[in-house]
Amino acid sequence: MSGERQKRTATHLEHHTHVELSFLQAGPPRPKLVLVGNPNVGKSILFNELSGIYVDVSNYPGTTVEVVRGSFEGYEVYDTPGIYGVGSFSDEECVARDIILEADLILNVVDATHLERDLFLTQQLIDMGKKITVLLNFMDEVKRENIEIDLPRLSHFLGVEVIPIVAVQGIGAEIVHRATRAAHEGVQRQELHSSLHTMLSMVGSQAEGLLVLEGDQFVAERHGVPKGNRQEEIYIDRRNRVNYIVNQVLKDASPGVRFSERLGRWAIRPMTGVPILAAVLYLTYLFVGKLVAQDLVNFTENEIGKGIWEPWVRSIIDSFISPGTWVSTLLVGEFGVVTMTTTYLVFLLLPLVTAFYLALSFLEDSGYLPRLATMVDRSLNSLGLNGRAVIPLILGFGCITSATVTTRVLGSNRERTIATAILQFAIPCSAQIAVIAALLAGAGFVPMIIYAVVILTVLIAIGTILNYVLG
Amino acid sequence: MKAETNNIESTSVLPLDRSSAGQRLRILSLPESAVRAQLIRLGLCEGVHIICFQRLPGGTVVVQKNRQQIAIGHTVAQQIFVALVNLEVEHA
Repeated sequence: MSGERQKRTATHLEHHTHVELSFLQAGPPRPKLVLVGNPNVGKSILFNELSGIYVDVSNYPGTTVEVVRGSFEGYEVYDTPGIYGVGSFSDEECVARDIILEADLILNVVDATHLERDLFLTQQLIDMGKKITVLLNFMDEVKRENIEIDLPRLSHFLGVEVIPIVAVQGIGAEIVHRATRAAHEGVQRQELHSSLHTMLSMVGSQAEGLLVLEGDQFVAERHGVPKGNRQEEIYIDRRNRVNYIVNQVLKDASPGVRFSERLGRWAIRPMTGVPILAAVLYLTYLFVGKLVAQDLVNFTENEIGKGIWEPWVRSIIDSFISPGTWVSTLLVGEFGVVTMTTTYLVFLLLPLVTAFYLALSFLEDSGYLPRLATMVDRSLNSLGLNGRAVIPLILGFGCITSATVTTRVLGSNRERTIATAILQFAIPCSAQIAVIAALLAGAGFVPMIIYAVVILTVLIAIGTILNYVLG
Repeated sequence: MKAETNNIESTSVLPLDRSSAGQRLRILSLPESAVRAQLIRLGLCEGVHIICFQRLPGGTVVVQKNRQQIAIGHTVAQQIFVALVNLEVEHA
């Protein structure tokens, strides 16, 4: 356990105001355990381990952000969107901010290979006076990359417990119990501490006081106080403090990006990046569209589904419901509920959807997607979008409905509108492509070029016009 | 903070979107907008040393700070001013 306690003098009387999260309340209130961390640090893995498969997913009102809630031993567990800091810069941040304000106990998952970046959020949570334990993830990579982190010293500087984990190898109830028991407030800086004390009488909690000081409009309005203007000063101080701490506890034998650096460079530069994109798309098509959708599904749907399952279940049902009656037809007829539905769900859709998610996970884990987004960012800017929009746009060539769902990753309503419009009017889904290809097949090369040019023109026109009109 | 010895700065000041890959840079000023706070969060404050990892034709820049790579869109990159830094002796 850490030493320094001189900053924690009197116990601050804090009360939480239940605002937007009240819509989730059902039954007697339980303490709220909240998982917080940067994007992609492994929060979801921890969440899944804590709450298992019975999870409530709801939409935060007025946004497209999901709030995921589970249960763990008397706690209500909340997962938050990945954030780089607590604030109001985006819908995700607003949702995370409100959940964090309501938290009784925070588990902060930190990427040990990005300590300098991640600890900003950690220090901010500590500055907010929240009870927190740090779970340091990716310790296996730390070892592999010859990075040394002085854990006790880090714990001492922050004033909270720091527990190393390798999330993908499983965390275990023992560590979680240790984490929840050890959660306490950390070390705030003295000047900040006194400012927050003053704010406490006006806003009711240190956390909200800090946010108001940092200039959060929404929190300030809720309490009818003017927002503060010390954001820059507080942020820079915090940044410097984190840099100092990292300097003291981290020994990086070989800093800098590693062997995949060349590959990463190639993926970004358009000259090599576009061929790489074409290759990635083609490989994905080969895996999902051909290997699974055609070959594997052919086997599972026809051989197993129609060949084994359907006759078998039909023979069972036939033995006590005579064939020819409407019940029999309903259950095991040609379009029977038990026969065809199961075949389609288990032997057709299941392999397909699994393959699709496998491919998507692989793409995500490989780190390719951010590089792709970087490459196309500038081009998409003229349509009022940014690099992130490349995901729904590419998915649109497969299925426009799924792609429209993916537009939730875009940061603003405006971007979502533009992306959705482009998807609806300009991008042909795979069914449309099949029909168009059949129609154009006999017509020759030039009509195909004309088609492509027209589609591209419509895309650019819609994007540019909407970009201008929506301001 | 780590101290760099024999640090000779040329007087080249340029917007980040005009830097070239491989250049060592020191951030002089950040834009005065919401993005400023987000840059500070990620560790890109005034005075910080970074490397230009890659620069795309449109002005999108990927900068590197220790192990972290951050991609910056061209509009923001235009508003960040940096100075070229020549290091004579690398700190051990």
